Amino acid sequence: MRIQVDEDLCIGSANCVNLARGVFELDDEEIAFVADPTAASPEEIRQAAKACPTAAIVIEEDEE
Amino acid sequence: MARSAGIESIVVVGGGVAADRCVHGLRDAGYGGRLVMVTREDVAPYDRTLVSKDLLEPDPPVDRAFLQPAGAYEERGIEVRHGTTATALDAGERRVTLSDGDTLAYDRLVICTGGEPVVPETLRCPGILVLREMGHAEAMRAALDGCRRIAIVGGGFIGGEVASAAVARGVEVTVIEALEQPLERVVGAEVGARVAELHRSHGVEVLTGAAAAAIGRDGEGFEIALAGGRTVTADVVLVGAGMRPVTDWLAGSGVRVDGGVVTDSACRTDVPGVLAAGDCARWLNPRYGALMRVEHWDTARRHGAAAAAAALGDDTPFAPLPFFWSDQHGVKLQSVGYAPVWDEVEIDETDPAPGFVARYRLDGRLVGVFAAGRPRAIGLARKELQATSTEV
Repeated sequence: MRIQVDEDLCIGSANCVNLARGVFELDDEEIAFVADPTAASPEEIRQAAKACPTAAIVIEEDEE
Repeated sequence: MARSAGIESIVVVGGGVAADRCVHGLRDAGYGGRLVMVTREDVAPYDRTLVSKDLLEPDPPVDRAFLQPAGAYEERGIEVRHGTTATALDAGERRVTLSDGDTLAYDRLVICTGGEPVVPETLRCPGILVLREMGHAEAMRAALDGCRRIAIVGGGFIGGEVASAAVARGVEVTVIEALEQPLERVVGAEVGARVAELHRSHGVEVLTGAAAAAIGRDGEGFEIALAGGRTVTADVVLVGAGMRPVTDWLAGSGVRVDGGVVTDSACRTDVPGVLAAGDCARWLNPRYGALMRVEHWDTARRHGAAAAAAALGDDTPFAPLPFFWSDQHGVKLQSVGYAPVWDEVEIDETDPAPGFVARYRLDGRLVGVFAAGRPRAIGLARKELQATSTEV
């Protein structure tokens, strides 16, 4: 799974920080970045992406 | 910190995101005095936007809904009074009375009491559901188990999200909307019609121009009488008729309440030492030069942080660009800007349905954008509105 945050879309609502704790953090300008892609389960990360208010989290699933 | 010199006790009343951002913002800024958070809820602050979304799913992410890791309040010396409300304010003595009879002295009081769902008197009936808190989501989840048909009174965002969650579970859904279209007051009839179509295309029955006149019990279920004479039956009823700010406890305190707790642009009420933020606050937004009260998660979050700074003497104006979103039938509905009135709406549906972008203009100037399934358009609109909406 590859996780990316689109900095143009992120507004720092921080919903992802709670939903996939440890994976996403906010930088000094309140823009989310991927701190540790292994800190939460893939399911939690998918949920964080779904719940993002601005759809700024893009997930590329590994090919089976 | 020099700024907080002389401030030894701060009380934050409320347990939503504004209160949470406020107490943590105070600690982040170096405030080391007594800090109490008074919340009517039995649980720690959580992501309220999930109440009508993910928390309605069969296997809800309850543990991950909380805004802080377990123990975060204790570690930072934040006293949390759960299951407690503020019942009175003595602004002269700078004291708050709590529902458990205790009183708290403060140097700064931050009011973040949020709102509570409104159920019109004619629609009050034992067993109907409302949705604002985690406990409400639990009740709704339980009600949807084995539910055959749900009736949703009110075609607003909460109603739309519950409709979406319910059809996804195979429940039959009837939405009862008094106006000609759902969301009409927020986005206008033309755009509301497209939202109605989104619901209908997913199997939701949407009754418009249909005012619910009364709700009664019908054996195990409910019977909703509509103004035109029609009756809707359902085994679960949600009333999503909006919310009102929780301000009753401020009566007689001298704090000005007028459609919310009125503050200046830096969260301060007319009463020394008393501030307000979040859904309960009606503040002067310098971006628009107008008093505004918005019920948006993103605004409440930022507002709480601004109130923390203001409580310590930082009078930077709070001037957010309003933004909210809703997830319905897998489509992200988003709104940015402030458009209580407009004289022109342009709808762009060139991309494949169900998405669209609606741009609202007043006197030729862009004032707001509402989009379905077009997050990039909202991102661009935000930049444009940020550049064009700043007054001064």
